[in-house]
Amino acid sequence: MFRISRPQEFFPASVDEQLALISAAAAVLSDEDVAWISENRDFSEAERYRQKDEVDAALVASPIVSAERQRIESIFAEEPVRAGALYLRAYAKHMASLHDLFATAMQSDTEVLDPSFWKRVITMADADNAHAMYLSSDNWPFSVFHKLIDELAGFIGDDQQALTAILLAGVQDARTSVFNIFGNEYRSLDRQAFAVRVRERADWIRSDGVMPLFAFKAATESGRPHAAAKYDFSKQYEIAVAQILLSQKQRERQRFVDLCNTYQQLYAARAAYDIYEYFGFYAFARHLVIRRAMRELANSSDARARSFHYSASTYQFAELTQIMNLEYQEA
Amino acid sequence: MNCPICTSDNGAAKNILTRGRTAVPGCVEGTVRIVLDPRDADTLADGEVLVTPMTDPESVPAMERSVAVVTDRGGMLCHAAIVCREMHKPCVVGTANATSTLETGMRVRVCATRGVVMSLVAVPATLSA
Repeated sequence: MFRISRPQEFFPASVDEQLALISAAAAVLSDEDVAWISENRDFSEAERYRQKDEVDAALVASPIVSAERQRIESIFAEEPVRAGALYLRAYAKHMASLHDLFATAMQSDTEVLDPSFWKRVITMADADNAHAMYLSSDNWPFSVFHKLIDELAGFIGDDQQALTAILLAGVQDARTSVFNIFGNEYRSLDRQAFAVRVRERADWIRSDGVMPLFAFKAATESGRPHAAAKYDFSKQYEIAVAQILLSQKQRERQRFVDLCNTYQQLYAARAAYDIYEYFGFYAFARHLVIRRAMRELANSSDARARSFHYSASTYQFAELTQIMNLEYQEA
Repeated sequence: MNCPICTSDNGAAKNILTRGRTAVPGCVEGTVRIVLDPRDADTLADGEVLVTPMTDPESVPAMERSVAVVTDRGGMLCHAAIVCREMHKPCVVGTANATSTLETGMRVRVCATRGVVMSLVAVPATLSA
């Protein structure tokens, strides 16, 4: 029958493993470094939205992104349930490689000086951007969900309440859940004091993979619990699936369950991706290596360090080839 | 899809200003607040309709205060759709032109069930063609 996967099942490493790496790296960081990593993540996200058209154009122009997009689209030329399973396998492999690359760099003092490291970062991060386009975003004509949603909607018909619950897949989005995970522990702190408090409490990563460092506004400003907190998404999902299932003819039930399970797993993988990349380990590792590399580059040129900072922070990794004097690596 | 509110109002709101895709069904009335930059989302007052190119994580508190959300871009699983679905808030996405067609201060009905935004103020005959 149907089951509900949790986002944590799709992380490339357990939360305990992530915590060990983050704690070891944080032990040698100053409070200013920790505050910078927190603030630079927010800068990078805000800038990415502000420069969306330019960032999207860079994605479309990148041959590495294009190659990965073709790979993903060719998977989804298959029947959607089989395609979902194939994609999740490819996604897990990609995430494991991404995690290994940055976990290794976090544990090394010299990796950020190695051009071959940045070549791998550019290739890996651009491939990662393709997954962001089709898994995490929905601003493109294609996504890993579209065929599934169309077929699910056919089963569900006019029951908009059931459709809403099923599309939520029993999983709350990290961008709303962060408004409910804090009490008063960080309320009204400025960025520096916030970073110090996170370190004092060793509050690096929560069991759901969210790092409080990357929820600065939710931790310091929000004064009321988010409305979504009152809904039990898992329960709503289970009820909606069971209800639609009952209305189906016997021979169609298995297809509906298969579609639900595939959609739900992809949705949980999407939630895992958003947590890991924007609120969790990858955000920390990425901004940490940006910080280290910027320092090294500033020894020879402040202008180069600034250019590096902007391009690396806004996901425009292809731009780094010029800044870092690298040859562009075809996928 | 039929909306019981729209079909029982005797045509009080019939001038469709923009159309998009139903992300979360529902039918509400409110005053438009155009927010072009998510960092300006704090300008939205309780009960207004958030009209924006696309929401982002910065927009979440404003989305909570709004009665409905209308976006230029996005599809069934865009940020606006997911957050509104969680909040049980009417949402129309992918209109392509809501931020250029609507204006802050306009009184509108957002019938997300039908995927339309309608004017609640009668349009003079000279302008309605």
